[in-house]
Parts: sequence; C-alpha cells; structure tokens
Amino acid sequence: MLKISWKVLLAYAVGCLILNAISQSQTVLPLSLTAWTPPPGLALAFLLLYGLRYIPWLILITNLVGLLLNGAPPDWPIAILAATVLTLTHGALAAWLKLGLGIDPNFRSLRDLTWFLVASVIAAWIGAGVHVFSEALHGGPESASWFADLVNYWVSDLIRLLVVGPLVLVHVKDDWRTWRPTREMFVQGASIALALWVIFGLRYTDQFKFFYLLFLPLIWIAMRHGIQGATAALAGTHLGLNSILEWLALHAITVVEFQMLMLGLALTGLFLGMTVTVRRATEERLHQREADLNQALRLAAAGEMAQALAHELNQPLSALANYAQASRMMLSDLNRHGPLLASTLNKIADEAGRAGQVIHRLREFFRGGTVHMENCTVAELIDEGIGPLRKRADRYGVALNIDLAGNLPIISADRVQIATVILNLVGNALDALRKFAAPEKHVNISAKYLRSGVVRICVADNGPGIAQDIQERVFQPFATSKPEGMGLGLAISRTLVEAHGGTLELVHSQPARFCFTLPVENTGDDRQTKKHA
Amino acid sequence: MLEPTVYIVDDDNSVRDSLALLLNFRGFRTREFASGEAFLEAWKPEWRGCLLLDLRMTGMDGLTLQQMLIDQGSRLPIVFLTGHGDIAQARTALKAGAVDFLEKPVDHESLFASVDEALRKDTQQRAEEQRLADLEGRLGRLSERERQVMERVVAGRHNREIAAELEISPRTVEVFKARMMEKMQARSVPELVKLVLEASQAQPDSK
Repeated sequence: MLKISWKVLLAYAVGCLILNAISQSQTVLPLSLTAWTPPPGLALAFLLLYGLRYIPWLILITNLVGLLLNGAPPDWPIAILAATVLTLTHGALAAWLKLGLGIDPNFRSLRDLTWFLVASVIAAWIGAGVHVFSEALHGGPESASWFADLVNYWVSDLIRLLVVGPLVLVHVKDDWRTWRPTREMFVQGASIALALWVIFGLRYTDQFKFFYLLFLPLIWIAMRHGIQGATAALAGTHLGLNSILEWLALHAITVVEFQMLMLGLALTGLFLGMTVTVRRATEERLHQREADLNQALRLAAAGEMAQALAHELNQPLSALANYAQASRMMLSDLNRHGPLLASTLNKIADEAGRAGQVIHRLREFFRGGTVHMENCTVAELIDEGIGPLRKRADRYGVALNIDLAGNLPIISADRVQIATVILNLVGNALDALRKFAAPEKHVNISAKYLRSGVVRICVADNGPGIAQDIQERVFQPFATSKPEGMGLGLAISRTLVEAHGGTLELVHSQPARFCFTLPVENTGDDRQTKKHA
Repeated sequence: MLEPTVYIVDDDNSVRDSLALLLNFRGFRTREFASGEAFLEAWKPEWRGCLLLDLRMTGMDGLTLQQMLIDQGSRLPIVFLTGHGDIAQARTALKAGAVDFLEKPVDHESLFASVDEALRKDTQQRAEEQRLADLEGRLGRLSERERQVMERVVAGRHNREIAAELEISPRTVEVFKARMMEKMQARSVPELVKLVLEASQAQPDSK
C-alpha cells in the first residue's frame, strides 16, 4: 500500500494558494489559466521529493485550489485536462531526473542543479504549449502572435520553475524551529530592497540600465550562504520585482524584457550558490578527515606508549619475581645461604625502586618535563590557546567571546603549557556544544586580576554541562564522556597548572565552567628565563 | 665434552642476574649474555644445553638470533621470554622450533619445566646425533665387497642369488656377509635393515 502523507498534501495546498495569490495579480499578461494549472516548480519539487504516487492528489488539489480562488470556470473540462497534462509532465520529468539520472533532490552537486535546469526548460516549453493551445481553443490571439505568446509563457514559467523549485528542494529539510534571522540577513534583505529602489525609484534612471545592481546583493548572499541563501535571495528579488512591475502597470513587452533579465539573474545566483555549497562541503569533508587522522594518530601514539610502558615495568617486575622465588628457595638452608639471601633481598629493594622510577618518568613525561618561564600577557596566552580552534568553532556555529579585565598584569608562565591548558578547556567546551541544539551557542573565556595577586582565567560554555556521575572524577585520568576520548585532557591540564603553582577546578557543572589561577610572580620550577622584558 | 648449560640472553641486567640466580639454585649451570650479538660471537657448535632468550632486546632481537643460529646449523633448543604476549611472534618462534614461549614475569614452575624439557630435547638430539655418527662410522669401515653384499642382503636376496650377481661362490658370499654383520654390529638381518634405513633417513643424499 502506498502511503500518502497528509502533511505533504497540506503543504502542497498551502504552497498552491500562496503562489497563486502572488501571481494572481499579474493582470498584465493574459494568464487566464494560471489558477487552473499547477504552480510551476512546486509540483516538480514535490514529485521529486515525495514520489510519483502523489500525482492524482496533486491534480485534485490544483483543481480544488482553482475552484476556491476563481469559482467554476466556464470551460472546466479543459481546465482539468490542462492540470492533468501538466502534472503528468512534471511527474515524467521527476521520474527521469530521479530514476533515470539519479540526481539528489536536495542538490548536492552542480550536476544535480544542471539536470534540474534542463528538466525545467522542458517543463516550461510544455507548460507554455498547453497555455497557448487552450487559448487557441478560445479563438484567442491572432495566429501571427502565437509564437511570441509561446516565448512569453515559456520565460515566465521557467523563471517560476527556477525560483520556486530549488527554493523548496533546498530548504525542505531545514529545521524551522531553530531558525533565527541574523543581523546579516536583515542587511542582505535591505540591500535587495535598495537595489530595487535605485532601479525603479529614481525617476531619472533608465530601469534596464541599472538592473545589474540586483546582481550585487545576490552574489553577496550566494557567496555567504551557498545555494540556501541564493534560492532565498532569488525568491525575494523575484517577489519584489513582480510587485513593482504590477504596481507600475508596465507594458507587457517591458515585463517580458524584465523577465529575461530575471532569468539571467536566477541562473547566475543558482550556479554561484551551488558552487559555493559544493566547495564548502568538500572543505568540511577534508576537515573531518584531518580530525579523524589526528585522532587515529593520537590513539596510535597512546597505544605505542602503553606498550613501551608495559615493557619498561615488566623488566623490574620480572626480576622481582625471580629474586623473590630464589629467596624462598634459600630459606630452606639459611645457614648456608644467609649472606646470599641478604644480597638478594637488597636486589629486590633495588628492583622495586627501579619500577618506581619508571612511574616517576611517566609522570614527568605528562608534565612535559621542565617548565620554561617567560613573561607574557594573558591575552597572548588565550590567543595562542584558542587559535587552533577558531575554525572548528565557526563550523559548529559557536561564538568564542573573550572578556579581559583592564588591569591584567604581565605574568610569568610557560607559554606552551598554559596555551595547552586553554586549548584543552575550550576544545572540551566545543565538543560539548557540537551536537547541542540551542539557538545561540557560545564559549566565554574571561580573565581577572584578583586581589590575592593571582590571575584567574575561566572558560564557560552554555552547553549541556557535565553529567552528575562523572563530575567527581573529571580530573582523574581516563575519565571521559567522549566515546573516542582518552580522558587525559583535564588530568594533564591540572598537572600543568599545578606545576605553575596554580589550581584548576570545576566551578560550575551545568553549564560547565572551569577556572584556573596563575600566580603573577612565578618562581615555578628550576630554570627561569626572563628574556622578554 | 661440555656440560649442559642454560645460556641466558637478555639485555636487562637485573632480569638476567635474577634468572641465573634462580636457575643456579635449582642446580642448572648458567652462562649470561647481554645481547644476541655477544652470544653469536661466543657460540660454538659443540655447546650443549639450551637457550633462554628474551624476545625484545635493543640491537638484535630474539627472533633474529634464533634464525641466525638455525642458519649456522645450531640445534640448541630455545625457550623464549617476552614482556608482552604477541601471538604472531610466538607462532613464528614456535614454528622455527622453539620449545616454549613464556610471558614475563615468568612463573618459576613453568620456567623450570620448560628448561627441563629443553635440556631433555638437547640430550635426545645429542644421543641421536651420536648414534648416527656411530652408524656412519660403521658403514665407512665396510669394504667394497662387503657393502655390495649388504645392499643385496637388505634388498632381500638369498646367498645364491647374490653369488650369481657378483659372480662369486655362495661360500665366499657367506664369508663377506658374516664379516659385514660383525662390522655393522647387527645380530640379525631385520636389525641390519633397521640400521641401514636409519642411516639413509638421516642422510638421504649419502647414497
């Protein structure tokens, strides 16, 4: 049984009503049949998205909407026939695109867009043919102008196909609940309005001469937001242009000329937007692969280290076990083996010390050995820490806010180590925010100079926070909430901060807020190099 | 003849020292080497005993030393020690004839058992080699005629047939046969067949 979704039918009906209401006003062209044919673009998009089984339903809805808007037409059989023929045409084109050519209805590549364009050209010719034929039945225009009519219909159909079709296809998967307009979008919308005003509002300009101005906002939007932005901008431009043409009640010929220009605008916008989107997707894939590779390398390094460690520890343990066993044998004849036993027990103590050395060396390794103190500003440290994360933050849609107190002193710290701590904390925050659905996501990095003579740096996000069950052991090695994490980041960070004489703690867990302190005059470890004054 | 010795090759001083101590106490003679190279340098074909070999060492590793010894004709049984049980390496080592593959820290009972087994294997191999060398010696002492008679006796011919083939009298065949049986220290024809078979299996290209 083929399932039909009521939501899809309702969306189609609403789309028909809106599109018909908008194009209804086009009195300049004798489009008497408009309300009785499926809106160009909408039917093709719906059939591509939801399948051919909707054909009869779409025909029905088209006719119902026509009835609702226009009342019963005088020649209703022709109206129904036209709707049927056009919907079937769109169905055939949708089948060809999807099954024959295998294009992705959500437009993933330039190829998808190109074939959609080809199908639209064909659909527009057939649509124009139906219109002209139905007018001929009415004894409409004299035979001399039928070709001009055909071209007029074709252009206006094609534009609407190219404006409505991609708009629906590209945005159908958007999540409208989380969508919020940004300041940039208002400016972009305003720039389209401004271009339209310059073209039509300034009386002394030739309207056609300045049409190119409409390309500027479109190119801007397409470059910024890809195909998503381009389709929205085209819809806005088209709507604005049509309303103005309607309002000015221009001559039909002028309207056709504008539509030709609009066609050029649509093609430019769509292809530019698609190119930008495809390039972004490629970049994203490359970034992802790079991240995966880094992860794999880190894991490999960790495995390598674990193995080296096992070997290192195994040697003294091995010797210990052997000495212990030998000692036990010596006990059987203490008189004879007394001195040997004493020396063997000394060896046991040595081996235990050696095993301890291995552990100590491991800790040194994690601490990164000795600390190299330098004088630096807090701003520098934060900058170095979040530098490698800026791109990632952009991709996750997270704002990185830095808030530095005005009275921050120069501090003495190991640049690399403190930058590593900041990188770790901010990196964790980004990971937490990555899959988190919130209208606005941010990480705040703030620094204050406390009276006690220490600088306090805090990293806070507005993510889901740290789960109750791991709160207590976030600083323990191998405690992690990330499936691919090692659970060493916070443990190492705390060691690094403590090596500077500071403390790192979880101040607030939901949402997460980590703070660490650094003494201003750091006498820290051994070698203190104050070369940067 | 050298006494059977457990040769310990490990790059870790303490491990080597503790193993030697343990084995000495159990009554084994031991000798220590700090690297595969040092062992290879000192090795003599007549060395008896077994090798207790660490798999992972700086410089030449255990598997390489095993292969080099095999290439040089050593049949010294090897017990491997390793810090981390690696199945692929264990398989390689055992396929190349290692007696056992023990994980460090090693349980002393298994260590003694493996060393015992390795030494037993060495003794067996030595006895076998000795017997074969002895057999070779006996075969070498046979005269041309005695050898011809032996081959035909082993092939199951009667004295008369042998006499006809070698164109000598059956009586002479009897004499050669008696002398041959004595030199080969065989009390009966089936025993002779067994000895000849053993010798030919040990050195298939000798005939």
